Amino acid sequence: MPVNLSNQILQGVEKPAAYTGGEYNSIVKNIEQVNIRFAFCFPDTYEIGMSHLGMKILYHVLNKREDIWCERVFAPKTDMEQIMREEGISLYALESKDPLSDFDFLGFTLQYEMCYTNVLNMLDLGNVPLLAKDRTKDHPFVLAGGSCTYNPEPMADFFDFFVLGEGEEVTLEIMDAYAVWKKQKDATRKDFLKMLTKIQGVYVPGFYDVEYNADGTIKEMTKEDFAPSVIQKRIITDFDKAVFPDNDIVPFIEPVHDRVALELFRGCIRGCRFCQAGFTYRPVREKKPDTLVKQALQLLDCTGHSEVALTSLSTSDYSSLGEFANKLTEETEKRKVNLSLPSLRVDSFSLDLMEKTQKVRKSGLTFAPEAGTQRLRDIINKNITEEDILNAVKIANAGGYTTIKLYFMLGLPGETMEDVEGIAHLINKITDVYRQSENKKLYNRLSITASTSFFVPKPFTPFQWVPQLSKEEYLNRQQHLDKLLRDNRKVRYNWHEGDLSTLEAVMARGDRRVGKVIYTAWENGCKFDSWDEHFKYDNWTEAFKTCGIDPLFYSMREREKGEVLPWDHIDIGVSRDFLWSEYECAKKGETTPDCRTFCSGCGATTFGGGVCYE
Amino acid sequence: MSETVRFQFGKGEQVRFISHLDLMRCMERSFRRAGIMLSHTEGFNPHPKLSFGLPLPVGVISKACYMDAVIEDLLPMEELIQRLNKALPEGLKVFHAVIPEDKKAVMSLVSHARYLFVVKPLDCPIDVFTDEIKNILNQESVYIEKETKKKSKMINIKDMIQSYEVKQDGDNVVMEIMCDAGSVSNLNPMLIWKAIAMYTDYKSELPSVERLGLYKTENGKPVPVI
Repeated sequence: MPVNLSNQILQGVEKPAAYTGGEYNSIVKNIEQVNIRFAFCFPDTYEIGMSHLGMKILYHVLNKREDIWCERVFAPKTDMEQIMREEGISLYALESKDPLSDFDFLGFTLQYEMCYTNVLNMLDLGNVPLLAKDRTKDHPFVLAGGSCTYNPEPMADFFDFFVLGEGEEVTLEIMDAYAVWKKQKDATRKDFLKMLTKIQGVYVPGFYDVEYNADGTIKEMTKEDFAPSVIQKRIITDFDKAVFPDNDIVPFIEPVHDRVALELFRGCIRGCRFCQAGFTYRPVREKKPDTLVKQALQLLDCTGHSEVALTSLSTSDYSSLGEFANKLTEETEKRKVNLSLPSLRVDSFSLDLMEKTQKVRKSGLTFAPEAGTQRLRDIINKNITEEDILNAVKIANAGGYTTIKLYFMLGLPGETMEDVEGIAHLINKITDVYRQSENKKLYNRLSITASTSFFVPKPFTPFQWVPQLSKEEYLNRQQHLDKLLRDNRKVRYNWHEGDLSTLEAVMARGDRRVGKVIYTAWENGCKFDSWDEHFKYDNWTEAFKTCGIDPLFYSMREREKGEVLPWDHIDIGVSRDFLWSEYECAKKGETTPDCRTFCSGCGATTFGGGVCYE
Repeated sequence: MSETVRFQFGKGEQVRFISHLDLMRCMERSFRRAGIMLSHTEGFNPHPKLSFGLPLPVGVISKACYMDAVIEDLLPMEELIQRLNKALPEGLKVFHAVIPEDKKAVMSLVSHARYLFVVKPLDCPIDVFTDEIKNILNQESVYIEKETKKKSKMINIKDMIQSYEVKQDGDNVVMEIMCDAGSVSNLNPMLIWKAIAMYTDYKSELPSVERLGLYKTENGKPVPVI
């Protein structure tokens, strides 16, 4: 039964169209004719969720099947939530307006750690028990996928199962298993979950238990006999042939990214040691230029969008970028469609491309040196030299660009005050390029925005063993940099607050015990933690105290080589030995070449495709 | 040769809550989906030549919405309507398309609008509430504070109302109001309701509002825009 959303209610909230559905290309089916109802839940607002490519793909994959109806659910903003709670309205899916409890599956995507309390809040608003163990046959199965599920342990208590890796194929295998299970009258929830353990990529945390040592580290993970000891992630081996949405929902209200997103490839050849995606998406797999042009035009035709964005971890590494860009711009120009090129490495080729494709006024250029000195850039394997950066800036200057954005991290392993000062030196050198160029107008108009974030060590990176810097020392370094940059009038310096990043560090490398903290923090009123205006650090501190858990144990403790890590039973294809050898290289300041230059034997060849076999 | 075409369209129940900005973006995309190429402005940031008549407030529906589109390759009016309707989301529908005789923008033509309010009282009998609304509107002046970006001022909405009719219909009060609209003098229907709600002690639901017509003035008389 659909929830009763009166005009009275909708009239009273901000952006009511986020709650009414009915967008062009959204899919409405007859519930009498479907066997399985799947609610794709995005634990943040509509505007953010509707920009998420993974949801678009899985919405399409599931709805292509006549027996399945996949709908969308987003976290209501606080004004809407308040009314829903007052009026007793359950959280519902946008297409049917049916409450969450009517569904067979609630599939969450976990894109960043600080959305965890939103997951709990959405389950609560949907009247679904928060803990997997409290759910009965009358409740939906609650699952999660997405990049945070590579360390699923902090959320293990709340999900019936996790799906690791790329979902295009495995999701339908799960649906098939469910159709079989549903036919059996006496089958229990456990029976279905047991069936799932046979599917590669599915992790059922309820079949595993953790034992701890006296010092709080993990002793071992025990499991039911039938459950696999290692769960390997799923990938689409032939990415060129991967299912791709041939239509796409067109939101009424403006999402964060309002455009056709074109995924040139998955993975990244670079291997920056701080970057989780660089390891978890291995191996790199590309689509062919013709496939991409065809998919772009199909999506433009069915959505009416006026922009195409090339989205990949590092667009410049696409092997046929020149050929592809020529073919695509030929078409986009005809249609007066703009081509957006985020994550391009700045060189003469890419500037030329931007000149050609971006008819709109010149946007700024973005550089991500990440660290201020060569020494530290070698430690993190960011294979870019100061010369590369300054050359790129010269090209930018010659091209008339006057807005430059720079991204750095503070608190990287091995960072010293010299490295922090290196950031200021580098920025000053960039400013000098403009000062010394002949065109004084460009120097006058130059505006540099430098941002630093607080490094968070992530699982499945060579830095998964390192302690995070203390918040005090981070603030100390950040203030030092601020002082150094004050003399440079061309620079505006932005920094991240420390609190959120220390918490993120706990969530990223937490174990099952952290789940209680998340639950308690939610009870304390935490939600939308990644939104400055909603983040309540004190309530989190309180939650750690209540649960008797020391956050620094997770964020600031160095792990021994042999320590059992909470995510050791998850296999992303990249071996733990490789990550450790990369960590050793980092300590020595040695760099590792990219996958195309030289295979370093990370282990991803096991998937039998992609760059490993080019 | 490009040509300006004036469309009349409706914004129905399913899209009641989309804003004017959302509507504009949606229309632009619908033209693209329909394969109808619009002319674009020159310059660094070209945008399609598409302009709208008086915006509807969020939450108001209407079959009397208008837009002017400059179309690159003109097609027969019937085909434009058909193609556009195939490309529009549910709740939006084009009814008419004409090549306007006068070249003035549709927004500048608008002088009057007619609104229908349907509202249910919460704490008094329906006949009492009907009389209450009649009494309020029958006053010589009905002042209300109108807030603009910087300041607020008191305005007499009666100055901007040409005619009104209030009657009882089942459990609801039904109120039809003809008032100033457009760029010269404009009375937002939500302000009318705000005034009534302020002058009565009775409680009611928020009214459901529909714009019944949008008019231009010819020979001193309001006539429909198309």
